[in-house]
Amino acid sequence: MLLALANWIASDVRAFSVFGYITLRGVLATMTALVISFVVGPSMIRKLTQYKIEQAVRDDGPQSHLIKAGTPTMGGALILVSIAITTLLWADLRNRFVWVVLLVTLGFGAIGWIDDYLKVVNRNSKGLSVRTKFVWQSVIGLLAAIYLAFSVSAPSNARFVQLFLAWLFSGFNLDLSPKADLIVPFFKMVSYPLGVWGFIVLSYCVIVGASNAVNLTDGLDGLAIMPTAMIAGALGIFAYAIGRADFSNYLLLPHIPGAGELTVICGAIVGAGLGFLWFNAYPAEVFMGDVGALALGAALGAIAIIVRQEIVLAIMGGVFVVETLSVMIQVASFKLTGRRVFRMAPIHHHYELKGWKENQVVVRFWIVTMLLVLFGLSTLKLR
Amino acid sequence: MKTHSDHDLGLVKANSSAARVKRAKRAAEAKTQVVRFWIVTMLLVLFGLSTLKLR
Repeated sequence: MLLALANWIASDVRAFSVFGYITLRGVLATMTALVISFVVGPSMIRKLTQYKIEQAVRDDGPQSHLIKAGTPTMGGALILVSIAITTLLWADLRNRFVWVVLLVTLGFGAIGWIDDYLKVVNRNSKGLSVRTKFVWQSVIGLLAAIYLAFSVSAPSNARFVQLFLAWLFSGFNLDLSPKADLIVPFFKMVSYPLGVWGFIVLSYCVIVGASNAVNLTDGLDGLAIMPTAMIAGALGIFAYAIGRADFSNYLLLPHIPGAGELTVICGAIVGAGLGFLWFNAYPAEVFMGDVGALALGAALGAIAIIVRQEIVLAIMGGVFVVETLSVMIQVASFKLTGRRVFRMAPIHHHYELKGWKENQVVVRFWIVTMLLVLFGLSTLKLR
Repeated sequence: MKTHSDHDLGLVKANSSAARVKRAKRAAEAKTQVVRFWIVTMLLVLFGLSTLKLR
């Protein structure tokens, strides 16, 4: 909105054309989201406490977590409000990728909201049934995946419709442009052509997988939000590079027109994330709940797909991947052999039971993520 | 020799437990402050980096 206003004023006052720069709007988005979090945060926490929107602590979790009972949850709504307002203010609203990411984020946020609400109403840690949650995640994930399969290759919505119809009338047998290939990091000449079906399946898995991975990681104060903010910042750099013809040509990356605008959303996620961490730092005044975790994970997944960095997302989100794998290994091992591999899953509880303090687990996982993000960013040039 | 009644000992115990809770609370507050200082620093670094382009 502000971009349109600035463009309108810029016809008379030339200085306002500075708002056309994505980098400036990315920085302003970070600051705006942060300020919104600081302004809205305290009153939202007060309201959540007043209405007793409290976290039901899982009774089979570490004993040290029982003192967390009574801490307000659904603070993720604060993150979503910050991201949504900031994006509407600073992003170019004619950009289709901005809307895809925003709608996916808010859609997954809505699923998380209902889940959290049911947990609060029923006063236990079981919200929506796993099946219902998964069905709705799949619906949103599949819709986004189908749209992105064609829009990543198409420079406009008109071209998107052409491609989609061509796919339908060809009996679902159409090759996508090399822009939609799966990029293999560190190899400049290696990319894997996915085809429409491959792209849809991979994108669906990335969005739904990232969403659930962040949700599983969100078990200690500040554990999920800081890696999310770091990865969003790195994806913002990828988006900027891929959205510019000169940079993408120099770095041997596909040029995707319009992807640069995602830098603004990434800035908003960083700002909203840091603003939320202010209140979520140990000892947390508020938890993000599923409303935040599911939405942020889905947002990261959708952005990674648009900037064609699915594998790099898995590298940078190594902590999320390991947390998810730990749960899968624990469940599989227990069902097959009756033994547990970890003292408790997800793996952050394992380290807690090994004697690490909650703070130590959180900060060490942050350090690991920092290194992984640096490693992921290095794939920009090392290829 | 100084002796303590049960009542006195209970009082001492209660006092030390209250002190422990107070110490734990203060330590937790200190941790929050540390993270908040990190956040401020991160923002300042971002702001500093933005001067690369914003000029």
